[in-house]
Amino acid sequence: MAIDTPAGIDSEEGMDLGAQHGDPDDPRRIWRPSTAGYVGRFFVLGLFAAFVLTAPFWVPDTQTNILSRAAVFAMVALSMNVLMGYTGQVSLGHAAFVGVGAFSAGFALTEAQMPWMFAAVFAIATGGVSALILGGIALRVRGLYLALVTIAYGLFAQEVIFNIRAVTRGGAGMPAPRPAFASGDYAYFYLCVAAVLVVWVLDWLLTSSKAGRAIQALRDDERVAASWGINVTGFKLLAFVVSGSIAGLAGALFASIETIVVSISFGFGLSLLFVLMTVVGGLGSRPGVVTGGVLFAVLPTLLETAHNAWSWWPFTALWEPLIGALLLILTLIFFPGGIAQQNEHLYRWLSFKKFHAEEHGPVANPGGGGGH
Amino acid sequence: MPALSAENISIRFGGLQALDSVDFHVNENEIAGIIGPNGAGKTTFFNCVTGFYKPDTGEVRIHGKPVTDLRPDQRAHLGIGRTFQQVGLVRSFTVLENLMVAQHQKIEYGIGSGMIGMPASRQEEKVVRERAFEVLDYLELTHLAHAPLGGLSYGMLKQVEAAAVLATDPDILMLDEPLAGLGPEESEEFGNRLLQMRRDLGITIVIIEHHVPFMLRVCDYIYVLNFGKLLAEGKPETIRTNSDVAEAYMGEGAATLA
Repeated sequence: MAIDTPAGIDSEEGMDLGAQHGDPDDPRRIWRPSTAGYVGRFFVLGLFAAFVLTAPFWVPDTQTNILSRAAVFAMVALSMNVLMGYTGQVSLGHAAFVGVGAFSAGFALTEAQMPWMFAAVFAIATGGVSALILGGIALRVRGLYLALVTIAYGLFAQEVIFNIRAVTRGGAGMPAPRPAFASGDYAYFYLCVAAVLVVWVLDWLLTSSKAGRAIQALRDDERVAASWGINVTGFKLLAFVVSGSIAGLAGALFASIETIVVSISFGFGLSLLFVLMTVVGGLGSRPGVVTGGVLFAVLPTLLETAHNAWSWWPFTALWEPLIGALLLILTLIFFPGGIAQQNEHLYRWLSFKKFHAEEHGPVANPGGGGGH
Repeated sequence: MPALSAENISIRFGGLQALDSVDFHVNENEIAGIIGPNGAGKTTFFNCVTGFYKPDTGEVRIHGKPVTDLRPDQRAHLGIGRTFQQVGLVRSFTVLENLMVAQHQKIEYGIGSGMIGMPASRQEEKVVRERAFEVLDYLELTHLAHAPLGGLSYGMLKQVEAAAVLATDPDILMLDEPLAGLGPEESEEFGNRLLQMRRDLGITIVIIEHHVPFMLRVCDYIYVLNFGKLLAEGKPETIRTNSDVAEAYMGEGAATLA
């Protein structure tokens, strides 16, 4: 059956496609910026791109690796966002996915002598598979219980899997050399940024297609999603796999920053930091979580630098957990949508939409994380 | 062959026999109603038919095909569309986005090609958007397209919900208390629209509703549930003059409904 709107029903409203172009208030019309609007947006985006690409030149050479780390954290934040932002499932064991990716890459590079690109693909695959396994369990539990399962998974991975000497070389660590084409710190930073960009675009395509819509629909109400023909179990698993794969890639990149992987890097504290940066960034918002990831990656260095530069600045890197927790509390109280909510207009403008949202009563929470 | 049939449906929750050997069928392009006092098992029956509950006994068939072991989304693929008493919509989406995600099962491009942005899937997205507007036009809700759900009244939300279910392209439309939150005039209008939809779209409709005069007007056939059992069934006129039904609804001594 198709709705062939019969004549007479909509004679006033009009199926006349010509109306799309004439009336600027026609809801069918997709809003586009003016030429000046395009120029302005491209200019700002260009400045931003220039800032990111020249970032290694702004900081001391000893800190280039921290920029790479920021890019990796941004990617982890995108991975967390798929799970927490889109499906509403909490993951308190995400460091384990990153660790699985890191050790897989290390194993592939060192033991199997694979080229770096293949090792990265291998890390993506193992990250996805491990998420699939956890997802299979996670589908049976929800809320607090799911959080506990993910904690258990994270601890199990760190204490047991990452200590199997045959595949991880135990406490000595698994070497993970950088690819030949990006062995320098600068080149490696650009590789990380390029990878984040690719993940960003894939994530955007996901959310603007059928699968992404389905995943976000079941976050709000699984019964409604099912009644619309969405396979709830299948799409939850898909979200887990996508999230795990991105985390796997992030792990591979993380491994080669310091070119060695050790299991103590992937503790519960890191998982907690991942949750923190995603929530403070703003669940459900790509620019938000990426900003959050970058912020938390560079926060200790920023604090330390400030401490060294200004004698009156009391906070050293040791204060980072406290400041992070404070940011979380402030976020939850004042801006449940996180950094994304504070910068809502800017982000909307930069994504080629109107600066102000359409006026339709209360503005929806951009995080979509509240109230369910 | 009936569009939808249910034979001998029973389900028990702990000590409560929520449904007891209920038989039900509705023919193609008919409107069937289910009435009954609160707690009679009407919504439970909907949940058994749409797959959210698995009945202890009995068989549900859609177009003659047994579906008792299928999940809700699989039954949706076979043509069942339903609404919920508590408004079945995705709260964080706009009206238009709701209507787009509701078309999920009709979108043919694969998950992968959607994710890598194949041109064919981009093209199909345009069709999905266009179709969402067609449905909105049909229900005269086009002006709400970009509204977030947060600002809409309950009655509006029920209308949008109906639009979303229509967007799933159902053969059998199951409405759970569609008049909740509507005033008398809007109810009247909704009845007209329902009759028109049946004519225009050739669909089969099953309605749960308390509003007896409305049901007597729009339904071709009515089932009366009471304490999980089928109390009566028949054409509206038979139901209206059935004294058992009148007693169940209005209390002892009542002879006719409405």
